Amino acid sequence: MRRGKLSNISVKIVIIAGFFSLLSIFLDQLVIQKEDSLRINQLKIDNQIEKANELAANVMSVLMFEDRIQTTSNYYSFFSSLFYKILLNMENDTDFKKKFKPDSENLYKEFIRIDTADMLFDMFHSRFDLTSMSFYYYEYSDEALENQVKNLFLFENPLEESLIKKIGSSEKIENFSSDEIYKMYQSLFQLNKQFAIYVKKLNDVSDYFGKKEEITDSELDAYIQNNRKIKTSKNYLILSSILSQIISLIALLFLFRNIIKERLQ
Amino acid sequence: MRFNFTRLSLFKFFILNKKLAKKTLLIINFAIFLSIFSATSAGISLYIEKKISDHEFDLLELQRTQNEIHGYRTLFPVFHKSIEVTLRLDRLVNRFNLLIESTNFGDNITSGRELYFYRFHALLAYTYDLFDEDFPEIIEYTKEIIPELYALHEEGYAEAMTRNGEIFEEYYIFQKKYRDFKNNTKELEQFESLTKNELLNDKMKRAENEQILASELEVLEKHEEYYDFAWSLNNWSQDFMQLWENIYNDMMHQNKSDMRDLGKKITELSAYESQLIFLAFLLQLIIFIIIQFFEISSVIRREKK
Repeated sequence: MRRGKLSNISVKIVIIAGFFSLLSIFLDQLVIQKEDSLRINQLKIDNQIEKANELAANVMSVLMFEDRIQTTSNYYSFFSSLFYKILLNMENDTDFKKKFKPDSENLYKEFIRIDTADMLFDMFHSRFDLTSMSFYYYEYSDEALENQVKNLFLFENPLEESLIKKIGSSEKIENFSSDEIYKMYQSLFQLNKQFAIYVKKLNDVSDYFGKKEEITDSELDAYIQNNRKIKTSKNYLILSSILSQIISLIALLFLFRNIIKERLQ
Repeated sequence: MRFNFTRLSLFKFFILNKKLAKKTLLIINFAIFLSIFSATSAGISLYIEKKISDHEFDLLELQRTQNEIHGYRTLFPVFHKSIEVTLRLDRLVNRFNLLIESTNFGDNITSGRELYFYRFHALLAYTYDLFDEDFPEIIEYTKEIIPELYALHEEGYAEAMTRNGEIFEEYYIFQKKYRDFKNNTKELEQFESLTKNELLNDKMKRAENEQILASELEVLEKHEEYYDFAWSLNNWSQDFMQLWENIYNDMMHQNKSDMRDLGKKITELSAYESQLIFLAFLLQLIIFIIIQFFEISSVIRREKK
């Protein structure tokens, strides 16, 4: 070998070194792209986790709320007509009335008034609590369902305004007419029916969130799987890039080795 | 502006200086050895890291399942309590009704409505979810999962949990009864208020006409039957919840032990990776020394010639 000229083997080694250097740069670029898609995918995963958590919390709060309303409705169902029936018998049967203490008529009237006031309070309170729950403000994809949620516990009061005021006031029970007590007794059923209807509507809402949660979970699974694939291919690309660099380095080392050996010969 | 080192003067010095050739060759060979070693290490790392990453993914999945189970488990005590409260309230109401009925004016007040009608409706209101379209799938899934989950437990353990499968059979009996209940009752009928006249006539043993009395007794029996069904169904739903609480508990223990195993495997693989790299280093070092020995000998021989 003349000074300044490379032998055929050395030229081939230079070509190999150059090729692997370029390959390493190319693979590095692919790694950067993979890193980008990994970042985007990770962002999707984070969003999906947040979405799944929100849906799970909504399912839970709707179920608990539904359970609470059901308990309230059951409480009012159990006694339903009993006190009014006693009162009615007292009004219509003197022998029957004699079996009770003189002021017990007022006691049963009071039971009905308290139940009516309590049920109205429960209805208003449920509405108030509903508006502080996250699922009330959720953006539903189903408009009809959203309207259903927005209108929960916005009931049509079966009682006249004057009677409602009287129930809420400190008016003595003796001043309630027989007709007013009858109306209150009827309103207990009507209001309780509303509770039962709202329980069914809440059940639709929890079903909606349950289904959404399932879809979100399966989407999350897909994103996680995808993340795994991208990570694996990124790792392969990094290794390939490192190997290319090493091969390129080894080629250069062989080149120097070859030059020295040729010099020594 | 050009810097001196870009002219590769150092390499030139080594390469062109014959006196330093041996040393240069040694350095280059050592560099080749290091490069090959790093390539081997990278290969080993990728192979082991791939395995570790698979285990980490499994661990992540297990952790997600575990979190879901935690979520479900928090619900059970709430539902359990709700049903229990309803059952106790029902018992209290029943005692109150019986107390009134036991007086000598009780027959005028209590009727089948008080004794059964309102009570079975209230009790069944809690359990309508059990007869949703997808609930039989849960039953079948439970049937499938129990033998798998308790395969390693002592004989009879899984059977005892389900009372030899009775808990599943009972569900299908309840399903039939619920259909019968649905077919023979009106939607929201318990919220229809009786008129004054109806209320005054709503008494026990009021009919003197035998035919009317017979039909009333028939209704009363039917309502009693519905009530018994509602009570049993609530108890069954508590049993079924209890069963799932146990399943979830055992699943959690199983998952915890699987998670521990996976963690152990990851640590072992990590240690194995270090050992493998160290072993590769030793092997390659030995090969390098042997090659070096022959190469230096050949150079010395050539110089002597």
